[in-house]
Amino acid sequence: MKTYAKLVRTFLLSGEMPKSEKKSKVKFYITLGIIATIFIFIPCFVLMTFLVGTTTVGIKEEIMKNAIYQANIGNGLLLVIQFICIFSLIFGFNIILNSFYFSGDIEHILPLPIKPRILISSKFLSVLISESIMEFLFLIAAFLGFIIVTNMNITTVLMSIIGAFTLPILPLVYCGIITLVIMRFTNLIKNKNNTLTLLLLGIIIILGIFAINYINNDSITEFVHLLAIGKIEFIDIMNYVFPSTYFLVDAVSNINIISFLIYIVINVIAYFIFMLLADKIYIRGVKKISCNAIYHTESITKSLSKCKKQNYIKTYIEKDLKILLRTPAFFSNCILSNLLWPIIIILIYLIQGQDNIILEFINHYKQQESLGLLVVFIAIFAISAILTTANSISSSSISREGKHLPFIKYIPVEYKTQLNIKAIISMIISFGFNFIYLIFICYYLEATLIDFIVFTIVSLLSCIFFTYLGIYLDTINPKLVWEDELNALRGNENTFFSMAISMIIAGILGGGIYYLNRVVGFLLPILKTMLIILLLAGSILIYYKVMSKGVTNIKDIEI
Amino acid sequence: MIEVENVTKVFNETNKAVDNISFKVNPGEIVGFIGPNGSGKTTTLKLLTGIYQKDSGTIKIAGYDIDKEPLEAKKNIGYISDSPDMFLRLKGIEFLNLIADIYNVGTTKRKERIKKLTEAFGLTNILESEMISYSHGMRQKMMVIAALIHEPDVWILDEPLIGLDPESAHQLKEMMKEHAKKGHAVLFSTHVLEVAEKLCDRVMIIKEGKIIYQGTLTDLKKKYSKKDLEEIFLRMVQDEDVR
Repeated sequence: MKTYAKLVRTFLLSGEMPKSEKKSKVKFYITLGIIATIFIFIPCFVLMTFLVGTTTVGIKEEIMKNAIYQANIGNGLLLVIQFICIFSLIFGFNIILNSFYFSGDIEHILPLPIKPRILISSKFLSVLISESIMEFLFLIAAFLGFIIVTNMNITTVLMSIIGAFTLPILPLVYCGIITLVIMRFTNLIKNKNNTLTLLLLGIIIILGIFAINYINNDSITEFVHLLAIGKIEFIDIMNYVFPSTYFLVDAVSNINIISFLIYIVINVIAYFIFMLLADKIYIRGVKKISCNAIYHTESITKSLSKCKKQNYIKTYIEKDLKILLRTPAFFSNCILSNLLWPIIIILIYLIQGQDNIILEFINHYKQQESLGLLVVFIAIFAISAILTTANSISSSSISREGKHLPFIKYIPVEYKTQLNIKAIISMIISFGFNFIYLIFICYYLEATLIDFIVFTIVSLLSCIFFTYLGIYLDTINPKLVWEDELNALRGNENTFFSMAISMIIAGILGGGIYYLNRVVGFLLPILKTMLIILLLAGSILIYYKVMSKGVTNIKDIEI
Repeated sequence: MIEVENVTKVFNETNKAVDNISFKVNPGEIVGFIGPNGSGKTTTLKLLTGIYQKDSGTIKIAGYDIDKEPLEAKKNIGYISDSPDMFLRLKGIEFLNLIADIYNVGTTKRKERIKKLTEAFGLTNILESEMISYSHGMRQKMMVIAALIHEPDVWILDEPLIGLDPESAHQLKEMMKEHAKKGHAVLFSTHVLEVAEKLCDRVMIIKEGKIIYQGTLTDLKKKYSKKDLEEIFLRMVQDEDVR
């Protein structure tokens, strides 16, 4: 037990971002933390509570109105936690895979006299704790929303708290079992290539199509009615995939202790099977990786034919792009994550059925009504801003260097040039995706050419501003010590704060534009010009900040 | 070629890793940097290459001040760091092309050098594979090739022989001798005293950030008569008063 506790502690500590030794930097990060809590965590928490609360109220009313005999009051909560479980399953794969098989500590721990199940269970717990903090918060918020509107007692509260902390176990156990089997019995993942990531993309797309297919409704009212009578096929299928969710929600909504015990038993059995499997096949899977590390041979003539002098900036950009594309952790988090946005937006769009607010604004826009024009403009600015920071490319550009950081310092290339190359990489990908989405959106909205140009300028300027902001943040205290590449992004405060700042700025500017237009009466073209000027000024300012203070920060980094 | 004067480096405002050191490595010289773990060898080499910022003193590489003309100074350095696990997702040939482009090596010259160096280290047929599939020794050899591809005047090598097989280690040592013969400078850190003995014109022994000996090994042996190099080294790093 002592070994287990020590291992868990070690794994948790090794994944943590080291605190800066300078007090001013620590204060800066604390301030950012407070701002992010106020503007991001609390609103997200409230939103989740509100979502589950209002859905449950809607279901309650449906039950009363239609005198539904077999009532499903907890179905709103069930749907939400099933979605959380799906996300946990999807994002858990890479984390578990990296932690179990590709973490740098494995080769040091394996020779020690530690049983595989102890090693795996301690790694599992450390992943569960470090990766599920946000999930715990969302689950607590969801249960809170349910409890508030259903006036539940202390037993429900206790079951909800235990449930919120234990629900992520089953999805992660699935990830663990599948990872163990893949690594032991297949050759899908050689040298940490992108095979699994692409498989995951396939799963996400299939699940997305599946969800879209089952959630496509006529209206919100209809959807709530279906929830109340328990006729949502998606929930039925997910009840088989994640049986624990059904029993937990049944336990909480009907104060059913038996269901709660079944919930516990399901988790225990799943975990027991996982441990049994770990004991049997984990070591062989690890050994297989070392056997897979085989290079292929080619004649030097072929290699030399590729030798051609070119501009070093071009080669440097190609180098960074290749690393982003070939490293699974970077590929999935920095590149594929850009593909999630359309899926999320389409899901939000479809779930609303006929009472669709998005559709309403689209129609307003198509009819050139002022509200539609305003909202679409704000939405495009906000999406461009958040998409740029959400992929973490700029805010991890120094962190991703890890222990190679000295390379930046000893090569004869100006720091300014290297930071600009990092910015170009981020802009190629972020603006690339932004621009493709913009083309689709403008085509769908039947936007005028002038609007398309304005949207493109706003999107590009947002991308420039938030790219340099992300790079600046990452120069202050980059996360350079990590065991595996995923660790460079996981728990990296710079990536989180960069996204939080973009959300806050998008919220403030978006809200400001809305206020100035709808309340004060400023004309939209004036506001568009103002935003463009503001973004341009901001971009110039942050660019000079990166070129001055950012460069100093890089010089000061000592690893 | 390398001029270091009164250089000091302090970490965390208290830990003096390098304490007012001064030395020179002249053209045509191979100088070995010896010292126990944590004595300041790597820190000194990182100061020379511009990886660390010094707190005081001056460093000149091939006549260029590392602070005032950093790019010119860096262009003249071939540096091998203590970790060869760099850019493992790149293929060997991509990595070498990157370095060659950064150091402005022309197409014909780089082809010649890559061929010559990869043949010397037995890496000719694996350049199309990602470096993640290489063994530790192969990665170390790639770092050596990359450091030498632009034929720099000054070689600064941090434990360059670690991980190399005997044949490649021999090759590198021969290259170092050849490089010095051409009038260039080599400064390398090592723990292996026999290597220093066979290869170096001079050695510097560093302890707790201070250089406690600079000179030839012959002179050192004369000073401590009837003792072998290992004994002398142990005595020096344990004895507070030796200077």
